[in-house]
Amino acid sequence: MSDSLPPDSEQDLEAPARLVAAFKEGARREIFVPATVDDAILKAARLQLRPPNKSSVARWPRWMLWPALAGACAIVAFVIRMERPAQFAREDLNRDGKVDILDSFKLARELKIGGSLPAYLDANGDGVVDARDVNAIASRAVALGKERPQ
Amino acid sequence: MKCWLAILFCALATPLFGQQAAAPHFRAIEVYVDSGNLPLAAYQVQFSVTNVTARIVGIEGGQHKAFREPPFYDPKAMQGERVIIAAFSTETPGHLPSGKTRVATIHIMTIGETRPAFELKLQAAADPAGKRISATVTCGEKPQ
Repeated sequence: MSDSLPPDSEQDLEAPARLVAAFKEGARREIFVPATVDDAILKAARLQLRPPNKSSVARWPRWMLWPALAGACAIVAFVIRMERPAQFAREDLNRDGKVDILDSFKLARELKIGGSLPAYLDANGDGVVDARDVNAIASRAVALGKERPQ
Repeated sequence: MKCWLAILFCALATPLFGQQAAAPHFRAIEVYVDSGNLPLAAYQVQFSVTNVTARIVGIEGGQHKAFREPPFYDPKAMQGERVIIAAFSTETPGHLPSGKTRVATIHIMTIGETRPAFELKLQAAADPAGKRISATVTCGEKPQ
């Protein structure tokens, strides 16, 4: 089968006059497009033609990056600190974070009340909870080496 | 020659006169704690001399029976200018002082005529239940 056109095909390329007239008539007529369809087409076109997406970090000013990073680090450090159980000195019987006369006083009151005393009150570690523990805590409370003058 | 000898004598004698001027003075400093209306069951005070060379040479107890015994202190404070004193009493509230009470007397030795200045810091004060209370601490030199 040959692809070449027959010699008289040039004449057949001429469209019928009726068809040409119909096309011309159609171009002149305004085609009605509903507003919803128009909006949908515009929206789709905008989506298609918008510039490529930038990352969310790039949209922030660059100077905000370091404060944000520092804030995040601070929050992480705070959370870690909160989750870690507080460390108290052996003599800090009232668990207020410092060894002072109130710890010694607490033990003295417990001894005065009597009864069985918990092992954690054995401040000097000699296996007995008694007045020597009271004195040991008081001595620690007034010791000068533990802090600098303010 | 006599003139040179006079100058030499003056030069050697001057430090001796200076030493006489810097004679030691012994002073008794009374420490007071004022707990207001609440009974005072325990206290801890830091005391220091701030403006002159001084040495702590002795510590006495207070006025009220509950604090008459000498308070706890670090023996290393002796011969120094700073000490932390502390005491407590397990007596009932009726047998504890309230208001302004002398809790201790600190004896110091100073060199020179300058009047010493002191710094006091109340580190802790508590009621008979061991609860921390607010109080004020003051001191004054005992008249001799």
